[in-house]
Amino acid sequence: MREEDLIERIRADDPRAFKELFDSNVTLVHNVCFRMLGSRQDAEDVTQEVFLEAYKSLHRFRFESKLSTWLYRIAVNRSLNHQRKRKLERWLSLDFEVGEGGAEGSAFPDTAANEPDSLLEKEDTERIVQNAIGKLPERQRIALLLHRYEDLPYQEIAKIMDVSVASVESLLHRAKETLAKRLLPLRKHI
Amino acid sequence: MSHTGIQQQLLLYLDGDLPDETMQQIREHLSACADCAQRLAELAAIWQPENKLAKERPSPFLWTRLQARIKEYEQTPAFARDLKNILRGIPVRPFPALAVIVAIVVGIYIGTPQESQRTDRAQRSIQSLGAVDDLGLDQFDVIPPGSLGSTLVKVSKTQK
Repeated sequence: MREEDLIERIRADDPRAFKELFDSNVTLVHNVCFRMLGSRQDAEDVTQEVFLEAYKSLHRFRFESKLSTWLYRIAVNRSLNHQRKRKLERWLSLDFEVGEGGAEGSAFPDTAANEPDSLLEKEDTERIVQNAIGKLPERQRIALLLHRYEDLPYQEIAKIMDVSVASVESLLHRAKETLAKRLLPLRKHI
Repeated sequence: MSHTGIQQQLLLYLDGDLPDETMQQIREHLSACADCAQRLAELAAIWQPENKLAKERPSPFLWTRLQARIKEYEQTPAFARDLKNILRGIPVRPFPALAVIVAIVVGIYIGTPQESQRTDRAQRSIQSLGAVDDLGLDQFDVIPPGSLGSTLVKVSKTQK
């Protein structure tokens, strides 16, 4: 079904239409939030907020981009707001212990004892990469997460971040240079 | 290009994100430098796309929770929604903020000199200034209550 038809049905108060939009986009929204926040609980909370915002604002959507691009943009902005709010709350509550980098706490739970070794190794490696990405400056981190984990082309990342394609290239370039410097000393521990 | 410069660009090289000329330069360097070639292999093992874990679906109850929030939103009057949005933007928890306010009030209280402290100060002033009568305070019709002058007068009468 075309996106325009789906959105017209939602605007016409078709009760099943918004559920269809939710089902087709919840995984991508949740994944972005999870990568940015590093916590499943926070990712689910922010995912709810994203879809609630979409519900409130769908009447203003003007088809200037794909629906998924619009949802990605809301997800990125909400995740950043959530992170900033949490940092400020921790500061005000005099709790200065912060998890590593921007992705606070481990993005992956303790693995069960009966998981195969290859999966454990894969998770360990990915945790290291995720933590290194979490320490990048905010805009570099967003660009890299969208590029690496969502496989989005530069043009779409540029629309989500509201920057030029050249800026996205520059952000990714700097992000990968910084990551190479951080990952190289760690390679012996993997 | 130096070894450090080459190694900084290894992730870009792995992803093919460099101009052709630079890719060629790095390729030639790697064929001659065992150390950089080893670092490339180790980085590739960390960075390879196969390491990316599959996307996870969220909890199946997320839709139910979202429906409840949408229903709450629809039943809330417009002005209350606006107020809620404003309050949600304030990241202050009550108890730490209250602790800060109490600390400020206590600090002001401690910092403000009490009556007995003013009296002690007045006595020391009298000793350094001489007799109160020499101050000419009796020239004033009214000495403001609570002022240092009134305390000086009080203390001097006590001394007499």
